Amino acid sequence: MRTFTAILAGTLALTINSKSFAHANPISPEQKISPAQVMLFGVFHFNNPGLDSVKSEVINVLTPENQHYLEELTSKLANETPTHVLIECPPQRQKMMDRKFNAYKNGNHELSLNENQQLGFRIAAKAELKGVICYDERNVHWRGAELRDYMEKNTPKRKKIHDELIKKLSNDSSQRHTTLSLSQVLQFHNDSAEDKENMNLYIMENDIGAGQDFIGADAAASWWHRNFRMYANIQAQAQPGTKIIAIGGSGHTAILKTLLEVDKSRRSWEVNEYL
Amino acid sequence: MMIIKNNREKIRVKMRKFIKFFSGIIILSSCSASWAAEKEALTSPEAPPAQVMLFGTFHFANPGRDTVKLNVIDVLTPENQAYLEQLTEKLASESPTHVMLECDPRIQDKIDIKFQAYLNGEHQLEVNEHQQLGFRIAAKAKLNGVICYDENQVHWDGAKLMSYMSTNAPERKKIFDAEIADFGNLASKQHKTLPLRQLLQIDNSVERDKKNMNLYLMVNDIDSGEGFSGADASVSWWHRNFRMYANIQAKAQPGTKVIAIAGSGHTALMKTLLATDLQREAWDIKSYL
Repeated sequence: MRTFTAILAGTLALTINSKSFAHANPISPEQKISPAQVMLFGVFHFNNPGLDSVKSEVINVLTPENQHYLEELTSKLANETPTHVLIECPPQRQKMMDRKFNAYKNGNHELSLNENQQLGFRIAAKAELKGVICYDERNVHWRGAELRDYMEKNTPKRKKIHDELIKKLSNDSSQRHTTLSLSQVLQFHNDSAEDKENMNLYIMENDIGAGQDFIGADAAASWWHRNFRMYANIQAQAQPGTKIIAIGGSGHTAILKTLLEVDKSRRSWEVNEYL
Repeated sequence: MMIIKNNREKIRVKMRKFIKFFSGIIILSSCSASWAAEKEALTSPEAPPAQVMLFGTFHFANPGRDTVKLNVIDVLTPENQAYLEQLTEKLASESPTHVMLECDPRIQDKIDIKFQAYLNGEHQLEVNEHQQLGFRIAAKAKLNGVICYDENQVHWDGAKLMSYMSTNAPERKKIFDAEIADFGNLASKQHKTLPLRQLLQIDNSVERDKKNMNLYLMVNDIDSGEGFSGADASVSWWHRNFRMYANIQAKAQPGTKVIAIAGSGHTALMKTLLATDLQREAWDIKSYL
């Protein structure tokens, strides 16, 4: 297996996408042999526009105390010399992101209220990277609306259980955001128990329509599909010798972590000790 | 034109072999599904969460038609038959409520007939894991039948990926093919040298599960940012298994104890779903092997 990994590593080093490396630090020769390290950093959405099913109050990250924490956290991460910072924005917005990032580096842009800039821009700038990379996928979507309609018509009891759980999770989340520190909230979003809870939201309805049209399983698979594509975007950057920090909503990182765990060409780089 | 056609044919054949080797899809064609095969599940709200055992196996009957010939162990030797008797006895004594097999629900009727004949002493177990394991467990546990839970519509869809790799990423194709060949060689070697018990332990090990899933992840990035033929191929395999898992969930209601037997390429992945299914508990096979 070690030989295989070495062969794989060597070959991949030759096929590195030049486009992607416009945003990366140069890689020293001795780094080329080590597998990519990938940090999947789960977050809540700092500026919650109410797009997620689980809606909640969100902690204000702009207080002096929280800004101080974010400065400290991003410095710690930047000190580890990541080679790429990936953020949850669609690649179609890469150019716009590049402009904003450059303006930020030149002191002409104040960080907006979102995790992409509050975390991603800070880490990339401190690590002296040339940019951040958009790795979101927006062509494949979760087919949750069809499932919801189906449940309303055919399995109203299950719909009720679903709605009650979402309500409970929203309340729990609001509770956390109003009582815990930013550090604690971020730890929560990178906790393996929370990851399970997140994936369970899909698995708990996976059986709806089993044996017939499989609407539940198809909806679950569609959410995984989006994440497989996001993970492909991470893999494309995470070549031997790189150290990647990929920031994403914890609904994504929960699944991405299960893929990273079985990806023998890459190593997991834990965020928890930095939070 | 001919060359293209030949290449396509080669890809098609390779894919078929790949699928056959790693997932052992059984394609049969009679119809109708009967779900009347299980003991009645407890439905009281106090019933404990369902326990689900995902029992990964190799395919006991290997026709030897794969590119990389896997000479499987002969499960019919007296020693191996004694082991299978003992193993199925242990599992049956845990009083499972359902035994589920990787067969197409459309052949449920046919399986029911065979199972009844087996119960009546009129059918000799065939060389496949459904009967050697499933029939034995269900009969010893005094169940009324076994349940087919395979998925027959969604399959691993790797055609676009294979053709993309051949044209655009031949180096990666070579690595992929080598990994498949190594996997086959390793499995063949293990089947030649290890006892049945150990082979089943391997098929239910975390290490083998990861190796199995890595086959998809290792090409997941191919064509990323463009056509995503790698990620789309990976997800087609997951999709198939999401549906199989849905069939298991449908049976695994509170109070049940379900044993679901399948090729380890399936159980590897379904275990990751069961691990996040908060309504059900994993019932580990390892201590019985």
